[in-house]
Amino acid sequence: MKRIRNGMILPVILLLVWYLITRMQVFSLYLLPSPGMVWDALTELAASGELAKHLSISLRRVFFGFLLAACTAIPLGILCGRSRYFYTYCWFLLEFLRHVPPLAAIPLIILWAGIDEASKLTIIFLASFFPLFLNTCSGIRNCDPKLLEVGRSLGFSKAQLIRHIQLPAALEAIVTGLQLSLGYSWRALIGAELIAASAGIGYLILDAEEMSRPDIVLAGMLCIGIIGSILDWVFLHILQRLIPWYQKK
Amino acid sequence: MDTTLLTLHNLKKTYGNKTAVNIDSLVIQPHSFTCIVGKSGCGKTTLLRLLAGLETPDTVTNVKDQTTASYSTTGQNTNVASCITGLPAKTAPVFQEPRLMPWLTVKENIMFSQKGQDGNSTNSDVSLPSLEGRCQQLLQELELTEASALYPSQLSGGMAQRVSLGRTLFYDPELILMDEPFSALDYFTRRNLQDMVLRLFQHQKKTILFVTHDVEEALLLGDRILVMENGNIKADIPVALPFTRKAADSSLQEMRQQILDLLAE
Repeated sequence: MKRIRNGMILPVILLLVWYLITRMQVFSLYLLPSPGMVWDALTELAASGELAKHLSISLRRVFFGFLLAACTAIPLGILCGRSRYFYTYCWFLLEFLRHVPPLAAIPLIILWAGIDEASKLTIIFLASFFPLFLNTCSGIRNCDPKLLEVGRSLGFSKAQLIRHIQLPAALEAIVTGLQLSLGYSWRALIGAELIAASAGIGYLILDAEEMSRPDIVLAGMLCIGIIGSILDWVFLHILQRLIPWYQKK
Repeated sequence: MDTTLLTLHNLKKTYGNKTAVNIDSLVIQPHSFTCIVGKSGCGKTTLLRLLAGLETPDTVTNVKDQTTASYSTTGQNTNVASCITGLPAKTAPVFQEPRLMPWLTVKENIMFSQKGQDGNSTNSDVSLPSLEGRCQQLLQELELTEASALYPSQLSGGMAQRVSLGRTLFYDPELILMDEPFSALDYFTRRNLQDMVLRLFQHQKKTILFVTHDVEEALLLGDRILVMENGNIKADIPVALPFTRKAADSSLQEMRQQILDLLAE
């Protein structure tokens, strides 16, 4: 409770300052709309169903892109973490790709995948693949050799060592990777929608900019932040349910 | 033949130019409790790791033993060269640290070796209820019944080490290799666990190799004490005293002094 209370202090002060500045008309309302105006824009968007439409489109994109990344990054990460041989061939390319932000590839992605869903999925995939892949890989590779010795001394086969020791030991790293990936994909999606989209929360913001509605821009930003936090929170709690020993630490 | 379980012959292990283990000859009797004492770095841990199949001995080409040892079919001890003969297929260590799987409960940790049996036809006749029963019995003997659903992070050091011991006992090895299993525990917990190991040894008739740096511990537990120095056996001292022994016993005190003198040389 105290944590929540302390965390609320700064936002409340910020809101007050914001309110006072707009109240005293320090800047033109066109540059900085008042909290009331942003609230009105938000309720208006919510009432018309427009907000729900854009949000559901964005969330759907994140869901599928994220799923796609998880289905490829985890198996590949395990393979890479297990096999030094495989890793020696891959590390350079991976290191290179890791440092190229997916947003830099947007022009090409649009050229190849068009402006439809495929390009968004590609961007989310690119953004969420690497944190997950690298976490899985290092989780497998950093498995405590002392635990592996326990398995070996009890006569475990190689497959049994992976299944019963390395994988569970890497689970925590994989979970962290999933959480990071989800955050990355949410942010990358907004970026993608800002550049080329006809729907989604990023598009909503871009559209508002073109229509000179800073209140809607701010309302959109608010939504992005809140939804991102909620996603993270929900995700973590689902995982804690699934992994009992994770929360008992 | 009955009185020999394990024979070591010209067993060598070197790291770079440092010799860790260099044993000319050593015979371990079945159902014996052999304690190995020595200063740190004398090779006692390496010896246990060699026997556990966690290290490979240096290959000795000119020594060929005609007796083919019955090595484990699970691939466990296949890398053991001819310098170790008679090593039981089921040989398992108890490590210095508990080394429990943090994602498993106490009970699951104790039954961990079962996961290595999956798809192994030799053990398919052992039914699950009997395994369950064995686990319950171990939990009881190790005074862990109430803790059976806890995770390792919720255990004290002594409890964790008892679980570790339980895990090895559940595997039911013929030869148990203990590497200073109680060295990280406080005095009372250690005494408690020593009694427990002694009870288990007397009831289950296992063969135990017990490495320790604590001479008193060796005297309380072992029926034979090997003093190691520079990777070799320096002295082989039988302790023919009945259990349960008292540390204050005069003949024990004498032996203690003898061993301490040997170690100090």
